[in-house]
Amino acid sequence: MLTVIMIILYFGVFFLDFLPNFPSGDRKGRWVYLAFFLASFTVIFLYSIDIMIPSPSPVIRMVVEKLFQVKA
Amino acid sequence: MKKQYLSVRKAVCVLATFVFGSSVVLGVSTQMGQDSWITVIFSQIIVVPVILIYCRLMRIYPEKNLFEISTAVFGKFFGDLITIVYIWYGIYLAALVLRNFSEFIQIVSMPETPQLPIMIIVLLTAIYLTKSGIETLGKWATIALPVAVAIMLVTIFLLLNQTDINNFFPVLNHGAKEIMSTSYQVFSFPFGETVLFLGVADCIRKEDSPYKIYLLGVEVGAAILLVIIVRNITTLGVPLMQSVYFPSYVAARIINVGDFLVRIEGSISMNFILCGITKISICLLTASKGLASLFRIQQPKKMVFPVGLATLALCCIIYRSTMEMVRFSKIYSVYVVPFQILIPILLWCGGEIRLRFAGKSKLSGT
Repeated sequence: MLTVIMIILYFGVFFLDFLPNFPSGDRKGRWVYLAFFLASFTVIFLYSIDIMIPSPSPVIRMVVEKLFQVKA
Repeated sequence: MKKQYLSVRKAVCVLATFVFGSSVVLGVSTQMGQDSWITVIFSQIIVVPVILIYCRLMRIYPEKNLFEISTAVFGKFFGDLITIVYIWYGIYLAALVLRNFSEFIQIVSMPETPQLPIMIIVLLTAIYLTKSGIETLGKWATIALPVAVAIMLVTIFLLLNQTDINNFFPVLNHGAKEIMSTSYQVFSFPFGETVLFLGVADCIRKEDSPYKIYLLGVEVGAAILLVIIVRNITTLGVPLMQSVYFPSYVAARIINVGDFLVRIEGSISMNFILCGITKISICLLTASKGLASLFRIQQPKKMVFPVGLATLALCCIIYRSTMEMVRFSKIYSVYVVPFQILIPILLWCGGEIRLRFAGKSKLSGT
């Protein structure tokens, strides 16, 4: 069900936001948009089918703990 | 297209709602028990100087946002690096607030519903608000702030029969070191997060005082937070306040006026929605402006959806559980030092030096 919801969301965003905003030209903007669009789609799709993606939080925690000797 | 501006009143409302956006439900420094109200007051010792730096930046570079300022101070390369840092921080903070939202809604009212649909609904609202422009966001905040304050006052009034002033004692039960370190944590969440407001500083008119806007906005937010903390301590008591994730919600839950007026805790959710959405919108607006500035895209509004989707993706994976979210707060206060203190200080020093040189070259030219 989650997968269906997120696919509907991405369809909506593609047809209602991407296509009207980037009809032609502005290649840079189009590529930036698509890069964010596809990266987030991949992450949310994997999340929706219960595949765990590594979170940035443990990395941030590790760096902060090593640099500043702070314990969570 | 005509540039949109925020009036002083709207900017103050936006900042105040930004400050207590998520803290209104999550509570502030509950680990300090009855002394948590003192930490909010002490936190202002750090808040005021840092905010004065933000204001000075706005004064040196009027009608310029954080990204334009960093490029003006450090040039294109280092300016772009700072822009990337703040795009990340904007997305990261928006994801954190969104996650607070979904955890809150799941815990208090929809335990069986997965968090993703909740996140999508809240995010779409915030994206709509962001795309509507800063003026609309300002109007929204001008309505949200009085409503949130009214709800807070009503809950305080209705909780008067449950209030026990003895919950405050013993005062200063914790050591000075503990209180100061928690005061710093209170600075980093939520006061220091107002650095992202610099992302929309280009919408403040040159003739409007940034000092008035920032100090008034943040101090109004601080006063509201203080009242919320005092209410939670006096009604819940320290053990209960420390054992729950959302103390304000629990405080509203125990309202009972003559067995007639009960279960009005939904009002607290309304507060959270009104103010939290403002906070997410400012984060999204700043990140999308940063992205547009980084890739020289003419209209930042076009970047709101991709930034919002990135926020959604990060929000899904950022924490595995509510406990992890709460435990991360101590790390968070250290992690955000560069975003909230170091980079603004560097920008301020660079800005002052450039200003002096510009002044001298003008003098020598005449």
